[in-house]
Amino acid sequence: MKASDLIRQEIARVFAKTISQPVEAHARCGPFGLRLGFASQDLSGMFLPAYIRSTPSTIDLDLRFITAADHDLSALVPEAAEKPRLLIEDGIYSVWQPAVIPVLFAVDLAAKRGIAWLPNGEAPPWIRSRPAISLIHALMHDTPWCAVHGAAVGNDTGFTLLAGEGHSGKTTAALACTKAGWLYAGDDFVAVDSETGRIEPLFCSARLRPALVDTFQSFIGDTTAVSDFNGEPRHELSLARLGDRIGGGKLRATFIPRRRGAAVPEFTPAKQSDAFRALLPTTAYELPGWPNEIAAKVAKVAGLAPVFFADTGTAPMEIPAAFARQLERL
Amino acid sequence: MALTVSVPLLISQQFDSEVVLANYQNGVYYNLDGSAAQIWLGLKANRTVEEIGGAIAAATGDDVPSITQRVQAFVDSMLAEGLIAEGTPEPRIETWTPVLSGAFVAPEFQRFDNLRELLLMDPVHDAGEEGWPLRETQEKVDQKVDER
Repeated sequence: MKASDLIRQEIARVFAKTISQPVEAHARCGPFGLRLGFASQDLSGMFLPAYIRSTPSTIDLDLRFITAADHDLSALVPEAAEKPRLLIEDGIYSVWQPAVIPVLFAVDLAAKRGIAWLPNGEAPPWIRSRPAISLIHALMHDTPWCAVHGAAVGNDTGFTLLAGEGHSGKTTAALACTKAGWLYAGDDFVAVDSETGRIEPLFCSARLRPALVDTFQSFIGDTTAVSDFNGEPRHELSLARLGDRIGGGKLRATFIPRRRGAAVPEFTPAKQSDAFRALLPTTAYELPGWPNEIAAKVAKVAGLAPVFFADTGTAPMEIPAAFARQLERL
Repeated sequence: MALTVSVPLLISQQFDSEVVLANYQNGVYYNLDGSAAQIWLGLKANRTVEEIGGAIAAATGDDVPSITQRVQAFVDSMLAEGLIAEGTPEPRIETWTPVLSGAFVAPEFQRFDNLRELLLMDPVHDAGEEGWPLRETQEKVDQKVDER
């Protein structure tokens, strides 16, 4: 039996074994509607806060979160289990991520059914903040949509895509604008239509560093978890209570945040290739499969709107007004 | 020696007169601008080093032997860096001409290798080409399925 056939069979078995799940929910994730099933309250508590809840509508993916205690999928774990694996074969997309805490993601694209299998019943914090994003990436294959590594916020003028590596200031800028009343589409990964420039949120999560806790205290709730991986603590925020202010819109400009010592936010024109280099690396490495397609879509996204380096300054709450002025100038 | 710009796990994108190359295997990015981009684009259009040298010399008004020598040196450095490879060249593009203005500036590529840390953190892209080898023998899998 081919690996894809076995994975397809096991996905079907997971769905056949339990028609309903202890916790079920509907969510929107980029352009897609999801039906989510969690095998336990623990699993829903781990992943559901990151999802943008919605009313039942079109189901593009029926996704189950399960552990080894719920289903024995050990037969799917590939040989040399310490190595990561990617399989794209006969309508099956599957990723085995053994590093730190092992997780298996798989989707039967024809059946629109996917699984997130956690052998140990837990997942690394960055996976909890953007659950099963690799499966969303698989759904976007052969569409103009692309999940890109960046934050995005918008106002009446349009949306800005904030592109850059970790620690560049994306989260600071996105949360500052959100605190000032802007629409929030994400602080880590957002969905972008590479043909139209439409931006949609994928998740309503944000990962806050301790240094920013005072500035963004209002986003921290009583139940906000604090993760600590490799000595890097993060407040794992769910911004679900923003309600309708979690949303998308048309890309107006791409800003590449960087800290060069400016006291107040400053903008410097940048090139399409700068946006490409800022967007592609993490996008490509976090989303296994179809690297040429990803690069082509990211190149298109990079060319959809003017690009600027944005030195975001030293006072986060000055960022929204500066961003607004810059967007209005365009 | 036939050269190709189609290198496994190396992604290329052209932005006007710039070319960005991304090596998905080691996480290194390269930026080619000016004459460097034109030489890479010349190779992509299936031109020889001599043809590229001649075309650039014509565009910049420099002497052909000198330019060709520098083109050869840059091609050698791209080969050493893995940005091009020996192999079947791309189809010839008859309309190719270098887009350069002003005096010839020696070609060079910018190298960005600040992504190594990211690669070490997220190793899914190390997943080789051997597919998804199942842990159990086929007989065991079939037996397990039958038992359910």
